[in-house]
Amino acid sequence: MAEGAPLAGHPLASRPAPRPTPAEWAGWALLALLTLGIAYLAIFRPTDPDAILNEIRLAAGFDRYQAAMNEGDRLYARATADFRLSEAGEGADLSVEYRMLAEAAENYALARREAEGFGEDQRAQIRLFEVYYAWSKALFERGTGKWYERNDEATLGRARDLADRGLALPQITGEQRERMEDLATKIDRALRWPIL
Amino acid sequence: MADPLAPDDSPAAEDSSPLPPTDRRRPISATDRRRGLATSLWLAGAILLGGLDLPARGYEAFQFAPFGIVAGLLGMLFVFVLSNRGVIWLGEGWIRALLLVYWVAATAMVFRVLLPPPGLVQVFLAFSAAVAAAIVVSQEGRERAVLWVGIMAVTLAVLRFALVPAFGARSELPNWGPFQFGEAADSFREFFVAYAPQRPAAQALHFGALVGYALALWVQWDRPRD
Repeated sequence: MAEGAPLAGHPLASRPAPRPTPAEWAGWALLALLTLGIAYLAIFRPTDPDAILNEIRLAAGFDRYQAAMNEGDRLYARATADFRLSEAGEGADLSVEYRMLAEAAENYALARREAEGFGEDQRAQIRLFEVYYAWSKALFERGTGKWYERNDEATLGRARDLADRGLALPQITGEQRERMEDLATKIDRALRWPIL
Repeated sequence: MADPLAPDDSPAAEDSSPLPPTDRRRPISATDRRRGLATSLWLAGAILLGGLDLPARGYEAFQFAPFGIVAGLLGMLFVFVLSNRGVIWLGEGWIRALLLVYWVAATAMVFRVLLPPPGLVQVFLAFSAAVAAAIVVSQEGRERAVLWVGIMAVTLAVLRFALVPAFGARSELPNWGPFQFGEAADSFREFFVAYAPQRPAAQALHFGALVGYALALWVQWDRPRD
């Protein structure tokens, strides 16, 4: 307090606390870091360390093609692994896996937009096709009922739509096209004969 | 000898003091500041660990789930009760505001960890926790208040981590041809508790959150000199 001020020397006047030590500053910095980390996790809800890196690369605009391909690969691999695991349980809820495939398709579509040249675009299309194939096949199996059940025509229609999207990709391989056409034929048969 | 910085509540002291009321407050000492920092650090650690889930299925390697409105309200209620019983120290000035935010968030996160997933069981336990707050506030002495909080936490943990998973694993029914008993059993079970299994490491994370909360209580247990 300035000399000559009316409250100078009063015992109740506030005294400045000692300055923080370097260790205390480090503690406050750690608290700020923890708080920012919690806020980041709560707002952006990342779900995978690789996903965090891919999102950073996509947001920063650094090699967006490869980041989108990596994220698509990660989601596709997890979804197909889940499909294999859930084969034993017919009543398994696969909505999470379908969402994963939708996100993988979005990432491959982004990779196509970011592709430089024919080769990169074809790589993205081949992966995008595999997503559509896995998704369409899963919906076909889910929509086809037992012999005593009626087929789920809405689910089969969605499967057929995905098969069409896969067949519309111009630069897929001949083997892929043949595989998808076989699947599309099976879906059409199930739609025509809903109880068989 | 009386502490010259201690607030004097007597009317005479108030009348004779030349300082305006805001200047008569005890300044934040370095000890209080450091105690507030240590408490906040443990509470932030508890919030971070308590919010992390490790789902057993799906593509999420981890996910951070903040507390909901039920856990948030229970957190506010218990911070009020515990500060009323002298169990938690809130300090003064900006330290008080800081600690209040961290205590409420961490207490709410502890309730997120201890309460079972949404369903009728959670409704019953949330009401029970609110009643437990009334028991805690009626206790003489902070040791007894902490003991009752501990009893409530153990009860909730047993239900959340032992009873609910066992109920979830043993209440399935098979699908027999056209009779979809399994789907009916799932729907009926989720009316009571929408159990989502987690990987075993999630329990270690959540236990770490509870340890962080207990350490926050411990570092501020000794009262600062008023």
